[in-house]
Amino acid sequence: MINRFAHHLFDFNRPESRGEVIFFKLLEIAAGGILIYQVWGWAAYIRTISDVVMPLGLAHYIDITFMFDTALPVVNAALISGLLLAGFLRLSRWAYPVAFVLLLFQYAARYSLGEIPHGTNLTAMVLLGLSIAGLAFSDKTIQRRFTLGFTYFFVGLAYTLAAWSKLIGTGPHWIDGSHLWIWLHEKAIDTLALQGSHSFNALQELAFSNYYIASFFLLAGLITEFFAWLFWLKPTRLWMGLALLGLHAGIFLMLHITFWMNVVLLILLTLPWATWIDHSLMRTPVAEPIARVTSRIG
Amino acid sequence: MRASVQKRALYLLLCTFIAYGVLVASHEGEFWPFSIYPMFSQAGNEWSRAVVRSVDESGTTTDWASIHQHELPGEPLALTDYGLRHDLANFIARTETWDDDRVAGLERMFREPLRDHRLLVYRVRGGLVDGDSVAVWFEPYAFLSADTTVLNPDLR
Repeated sequence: MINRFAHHLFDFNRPESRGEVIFFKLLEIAAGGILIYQVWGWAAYIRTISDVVMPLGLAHYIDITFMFDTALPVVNAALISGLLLAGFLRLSRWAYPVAFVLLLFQYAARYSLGEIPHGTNLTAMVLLGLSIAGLAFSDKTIQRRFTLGFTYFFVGLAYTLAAWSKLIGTGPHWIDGSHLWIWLHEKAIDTLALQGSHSFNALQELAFSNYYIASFFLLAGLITEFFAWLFWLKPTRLWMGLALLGLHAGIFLMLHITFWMNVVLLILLTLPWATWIDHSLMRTPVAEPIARVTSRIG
Repeated sequence: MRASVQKRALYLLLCTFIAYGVLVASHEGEFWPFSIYPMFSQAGNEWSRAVVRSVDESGTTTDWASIHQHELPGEPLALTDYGLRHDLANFIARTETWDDDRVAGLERMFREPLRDHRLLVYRVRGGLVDGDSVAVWFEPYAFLSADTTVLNPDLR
């Protein structure tokens, strides 16, 4: 059984196509690009911080205030960016792991004010998978397969844990529609604070209009998360991925939370990009050797 | 060869999973990038957020009574215009003692808008009332100007 599980995640025995190699590069570029974008944004934000309200991650063990009021966040962002590029170019197998460690500092400094965001968690898990793969395996195909399987596993785990957190934190009555009404007002205040105004959209008004409709929305979300472990299995990965994308669409329309980094990752991991690239490569005409063309003319 | 690779891959996955479990279990569910993803897990609870208003010279620092949204003075200050995010609400909600460092942290957060604005920070609380409707209260929390910071004495 464990071997079948591993086969679903890693599939080491299947030959690797050119499409898969190109797709993996795209995944790496997306993950690296997202993380570079984030660390520079965090570096800019850290300038507004002078105190640790609630330590997160590494800040439990290190006084992260040394990152405040200095150029260190910018230096760290530059280092992380350089290391991610070096990792992508395979200049060193330590580039990704060191970038990951430096990211821990950047995150801890940025999120020391009490907010606990989860937008970058899965992207950072891709980097962790790349880091482990580079250190543990020398074969590039195996590195890619391991990273993908590693990512599939932790994406499925993340959403499944989210469902269990709700069931443990509240219980089955989490789906009570009035809970959604409370969050809709909470998010409206967030929008008011961020943008200066807010108004409810048609879907939100629909949820307000009927308790059972509101409860149905929550039920659909909880069921989707509860079965997210189906992302681990090859036959169900596509459908589960689409369901999770639908979940994010619902969260965006209802609560104005985009989770855009997770959405990018899910779009990449769910849709059969490698197959599409392979088909595209097969359709692309290849230039015939000149000798063969001239002999045919002759 | 592939069997040994698969075995090693599973071993590495298991090790990461165990590290994940140990770290989230020992750090209240969060040790980035590991998490139990507890957002929205505590349904039905009262919430606390924050909004900021830009007030003119007549903006008072003595009237700290809670008000409704339509009674808010001045103009809204859109936090995104100053690159600020949701940190303010958490900063206020998680601060139990407003010592000098914490007040300085609040002032630093608004360093840029305070060049042109006098600000009233409201703590906004919401919750279900009578089981079928949501009530929202706006509590004045702090008044900030370029050279003054006054906290609501009832909340401090």
